[in-house]
Order: sequence, then C-alpha cells, then structure tokens
Amino acid sequence: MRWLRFAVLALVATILQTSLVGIISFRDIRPDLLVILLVFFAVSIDPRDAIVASFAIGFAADLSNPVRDLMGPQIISFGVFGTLLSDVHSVISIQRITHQAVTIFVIGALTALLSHLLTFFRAEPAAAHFAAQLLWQPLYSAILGPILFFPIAWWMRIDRKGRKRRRPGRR
Amino acid sequence: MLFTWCLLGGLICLFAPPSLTSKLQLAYTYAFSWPLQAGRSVSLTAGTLSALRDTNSAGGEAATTEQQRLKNQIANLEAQLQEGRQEIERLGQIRAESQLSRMTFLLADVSLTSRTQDILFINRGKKDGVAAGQYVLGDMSIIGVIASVWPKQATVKLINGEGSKMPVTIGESDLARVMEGKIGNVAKIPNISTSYPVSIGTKVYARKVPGLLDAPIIAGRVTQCRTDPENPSQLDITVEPACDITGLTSVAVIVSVPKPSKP
Repeated sequence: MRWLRFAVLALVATILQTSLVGIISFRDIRPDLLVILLVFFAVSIDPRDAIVASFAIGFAADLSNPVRDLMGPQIISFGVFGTLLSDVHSVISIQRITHQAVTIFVIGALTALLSHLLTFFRAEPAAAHFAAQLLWQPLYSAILGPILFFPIAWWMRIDRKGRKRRRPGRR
Repeated sequence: MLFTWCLLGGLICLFAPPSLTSKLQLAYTYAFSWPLQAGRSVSLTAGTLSALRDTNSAGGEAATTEQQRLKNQIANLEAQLQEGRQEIERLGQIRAESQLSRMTFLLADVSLTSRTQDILFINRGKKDGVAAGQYVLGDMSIIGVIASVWPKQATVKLINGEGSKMPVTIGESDLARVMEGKIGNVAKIPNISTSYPVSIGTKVYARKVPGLLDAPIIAGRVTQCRTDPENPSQLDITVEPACDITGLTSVAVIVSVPKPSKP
C-alpha cells in the first residue's frame, strides 16, 4: 500500500467534498467522494490495510462534514463498514461496474444510517437532511463511483484486474 | 486487534468533549482555508451561472414578461431609493449618525458550513477581538451569534440551528419574545397569543442587547403562522432567515459596543 499517495488522495477528496463538489450537485444532492474512496480501498487492497484506510477516511469525513462539533460518528461507521466490506470481498468478488455501483449505494446508506444513530448519543441530528443522506446521496455516489475508480486506481498504481488479494489473516 | 484499536479511537473521539474535537475541525479549516474558500467561491459562482442559464433557456414569451416585470420592479425600487435618500438627508440633520453606522464590524470569510447547516466556521478569532455571544451579520441581517472562539477561528451558531435562542421583537411593535432554533433548521417563536396580529411576511428583528447590539436589526421573516394544534390559544410561528445563509462567503461580526457619537 502506497500510504503517501493514499494520504494525498484522501486530502484532495476531503477538500473537494467540502468545497468544489457543489458544482456537480443536483437539487442540493452531492455525491460523497469519501464513500467512493472507502469502497474502492475496501475492495482493492489488503484487508489489514483496508481497516486503517477505512478509519482514516472516516476521520477525514468527520473533519470535512462536521455534525454539531462532533467527531467520531463517521470514523466508526466508515471503519466498521469498510472492514466488513473488505471481509465480504474476500469471499465475494466485486469487480463488475454494476456490482460496484450497488456496493457504493449500500455502503453509503449504511454508513449514513449508523453515523446518524451514533450522533443520537451526543446530540439530536437534523432530521431534514437524513432522507437525502440515506437515499439520494448514496444513489448519486453509486452512479459516479465506478467511473472514478479508474483514475483512483491509476493514481494508487493498483492494477485492479490483475490484483490478487490475500486472505484475511490475524488482526 | 488492529480493528479493535481503531474502533476504540473512534469511540474516544465520539465521547470526547466537543470543545476538544472541534479544535481538530478548526485546525482543518485553518490549515486549508485558502483551497476551501476558493472552492466555495467557485461552487457558488457556478450555481449562480447555472441559475442564470436556466432563466435564459426558459425562453420566449415567458422570459419577456419576466423581464418586463423585473424592469418595473427596478423602476419602483429606484423611486423608493430616491425617496429613501431624501429621508436620510432629513434625518441626518437631526442625528449625526445612525445607530448601525456607530457599531464596529469585523469582516470574516466563511470557511466551512457544518453538514447539518446550523454552524458556520469563520476565519476570525480571539486575536481579532471576536468573543462568544457577539452577533453576526450576513447580507445586512442577523444570521447568528458566535458560539465558540479560538485564536484565529470561530464558529457561528445560526439563528435557525437547533438550540439557538435569540431575543427578538416581532414587526414594528414592542412585542418581545425569544426565537428558538428547532430540529430541521427551523426557527420558531413560542408563547404568542392568537389575538396578536402576526401574518406571513412580518419582519422579525433581533432585539437590542446592551453591549452586543445597539440597534434592532432584521433577523428573519415569518413564513408560517397558524394556531398551535397543541395549544389553540397560541400561535405557531415559523421564521426564515432574512438572507440565504448557504450562499454566504463572508459575514460581519459586531465586535464591540457602539463607538461614541461625534459631538
């Protein structure tokens, strides 16, 4: 795993998510670049690295999309579902574009749901944006995600077709 | 094991005091303030251009009618402006300065909006004279108060954000109440009797607060006014901010009590 390239990519995605992604928003619905990154790394790298990458992307998500000054809901939800997806991918291959899109949609919805529930521990989240985060944002990310996988794979120097995954070992 | 440690780190962040964790968010907005502000400006410009393109493409007759209506509106506004100028001249003879012009404002750029759109991060802090509780203006209307302050950063709790409370007066009257932010970024004014004449469009002003706000300034407009279903003797009043907060790139913090007027 090329961690320096990962750090640059995560940082650029975080800044874009906070600022420029509004350009491609449709009716105030924006794709979640960090969920796309999460799915990419969960299905593309070693499971042990995928755990670290998932929690790191969750940390970036909490930095860029703060919910009432809180940190943690997205670290946990991204970390849990990124790790879970990495484990599932050891058994079921997610290579087709349609499968990738469905995976992004499901993971996007699940991470939004879990972070919403976790936010309840500390503060009441705004219900107004919940439907958008649970349904429309993951849907938009699912449409955009598989296209973005190609430049991300090129930047990370990951040959997605020729890659051989290692079975998950000891954690 | 690695997963457990990472999860533990996440839980520590979740249950740590927000005053500590928000420092990380402020550090992020401070470190990347330039790309964030540039991106936000580009994004807002693109949104404006897109809206203009939509208006142009609506085409034909509808566009011509709309243009005419806008021209009429501009003409009406010009007439009103002229009348206003004359009135200001007359008032100027009575009083040297308006209350608003005597206050000290500090301009600040908006570096980030929270996902729940109830908090703004601005690039001014303690070192610039910003303190908790100070009022914040956006497009010449009150949009919120300073919630937390760090040396070079601060957060603004918006008037419609959940938990926000602001003393206000309704319309031109002296009826003083506290406007409260509710879940879903909605501002409500409770405890108003149905006998009180409030209608949609009534202006809501932030009330004078000694040391913080020396003159009432518009904060919002009533967008919904109906009988409270839970208490039929009272009104359920919903208020919308007087400006589009999501489109703001800069705000002004009222940093001090009014300057003494010239003799």
